[in-house]
Amino acid sequence: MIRLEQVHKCFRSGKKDVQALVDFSMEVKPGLVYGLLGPNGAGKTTALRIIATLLKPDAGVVTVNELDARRDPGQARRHIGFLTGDTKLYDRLTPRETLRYFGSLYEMIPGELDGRIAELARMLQMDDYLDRRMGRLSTGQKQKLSIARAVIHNPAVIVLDEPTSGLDVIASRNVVEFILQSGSEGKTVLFSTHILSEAERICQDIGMIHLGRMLLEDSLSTIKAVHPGNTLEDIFLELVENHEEEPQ
Amino acid sequence: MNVSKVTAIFRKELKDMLRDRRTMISMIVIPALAIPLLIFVIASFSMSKARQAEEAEKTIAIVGIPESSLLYEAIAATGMNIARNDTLASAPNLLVLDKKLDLAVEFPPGFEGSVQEFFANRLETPPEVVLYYNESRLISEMALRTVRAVLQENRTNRTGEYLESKGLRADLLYPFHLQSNNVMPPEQQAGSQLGRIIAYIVMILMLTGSAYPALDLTVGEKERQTLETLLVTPAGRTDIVIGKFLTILVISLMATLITIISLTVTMTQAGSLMKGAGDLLSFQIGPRVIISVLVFLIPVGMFFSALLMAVGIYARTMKEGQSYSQPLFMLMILPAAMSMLPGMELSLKTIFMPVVNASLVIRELFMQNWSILPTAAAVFGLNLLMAALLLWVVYRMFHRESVLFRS
Repeated sequence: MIRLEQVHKCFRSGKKDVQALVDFSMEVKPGLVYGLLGPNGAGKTTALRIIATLLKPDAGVVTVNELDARRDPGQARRHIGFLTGDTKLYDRLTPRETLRYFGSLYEMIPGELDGRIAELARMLQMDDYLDRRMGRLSTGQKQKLSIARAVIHNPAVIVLDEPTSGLDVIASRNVVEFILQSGSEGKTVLFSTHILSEAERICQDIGMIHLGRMLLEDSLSTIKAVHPGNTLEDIFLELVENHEEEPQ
Repeated sequence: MNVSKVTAIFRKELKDMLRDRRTMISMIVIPALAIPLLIFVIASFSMSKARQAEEAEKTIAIVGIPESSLLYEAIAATGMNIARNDTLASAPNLLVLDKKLDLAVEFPPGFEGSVQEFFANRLETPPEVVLYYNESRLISEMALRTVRAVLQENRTNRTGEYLESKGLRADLLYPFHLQSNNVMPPEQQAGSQLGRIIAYIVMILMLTGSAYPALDLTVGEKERQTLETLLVTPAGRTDIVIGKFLTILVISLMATLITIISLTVTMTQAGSLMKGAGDLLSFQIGPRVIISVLVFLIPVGMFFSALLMAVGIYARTMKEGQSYSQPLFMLMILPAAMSMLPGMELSLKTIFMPVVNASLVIRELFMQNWSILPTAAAVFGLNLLMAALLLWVVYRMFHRESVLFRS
């Protein structure tokens, strides 16, 4: 479970303050895939970085698996697997060394860690290149390793920031399969994208964000029922238009 | 701080760095090969030039005294080629400047008569013999030394003969003897010759040895987008800072150790490998010196590592980090070079000057001046304090979103 309540985040850009998140709330339930949708610059990455404790909110409550992420970020991170489309790994290490390294940071005991590496290698078909240096792997192979790295500690919460951005069809498919499988395993899955058709395919819950504000949050089925015949893109554009017409 | 996480980060960073060709070049290749090679090339070149100058035929001119005079013959007896006066195309000093002559000796008109007049006390000042030479040419300096020795001997003999002719002892010229005894032990004497330059080389290589890993582990990680991957793990920012800092420190100390060993081997082998270089390069560095220098360099390495880490964390790109490092290098190199200046000693003023204090202590340690140890301990403490302060700045910077995610 992830919960954000009335979160504010402001960045300083030169002499100007930029409101990245304004009174932002959302809730991601376990066993469901939640899609956070919005255009570039809407505040998706800021929200996800706050959940992953990379950034501190200026105000509001952030809860990850019942843990206060602001007060105890280290403990919160133990429950999170975080992956972005441009997450990079170490070219001079092999996948096995990389996974051992991250496993040790999660304080996994060696026997348990080796078992988990073997399990992930089998699951993601990584056995052939487990001991080859990262710099010699293809984009798809690297993406599989990134997924394995994000879930090496078998987290209950998975946060993915535009995980398919910049990936080819095959690598992208690996990520989508991973998201669907994680959801079916009862994990809390939150992923952000600006490709609304992708979200329509794999999400059960949807949040639409624009200019740092949550415009709509509901299940995909409810949204579809309220807006029959419309795609998520149509619904989003309609919401943005209405939002911009409202007095601020 | 979590020790197991710091250890995991340190081990991973060290492995990653040691697999990087650029680290190996700055840590091993430059100190182990480039420095000895440079010393050998410079020493061989200067020795070969000296040999060439010694063996070369030197041409000089003697103006103002006849060829039949005893002084002319004494100079000619040195074996140097003496140009005939009637073949000289222009003034002797100009010929020396044009490298047509290696030396010109100009006696004033009536030289012998003037000397006699001086002895007879009829002249207030003795006649002046002018030696024209070119300081930029080794061969010219060698000719000067030879001729000057002949002239000095001749002058002494003449005075001795004069004194004897007056019924006085010839050695009255020297009413007392001068004896200079260098109280510096032989190993320190060797150290003082090269200790200054070695202290400088060690400091510079320590700085450059920590520069690449410091930038790579900070701004390099930012640029490669691997830093975020690490920040989302339960490793705290303190664990990350300490793990990375230790890696940079160990690499810079390894580079320093390799530099010192390489210099030791170069110096000790110089005599046997290069005939005639023994005096030039005979500089013994014992294990006690190596250990004491390395221990002393730990806080200096910490200072450099923390300083470069701060630069790396602040920079947005590797290129930007390198640009910020350049003026920093200049700021560090200048004080390090100050230790080579004559008269620069450890004093109440210099022990508070960062880098200068360390360079001076290292110089004294290379000279095996163990009486410096209490001062060295004070400098060690000061540098440790400064390194700790800088590390605290790095820690603070690593906790600031505006610095860490600066774009």
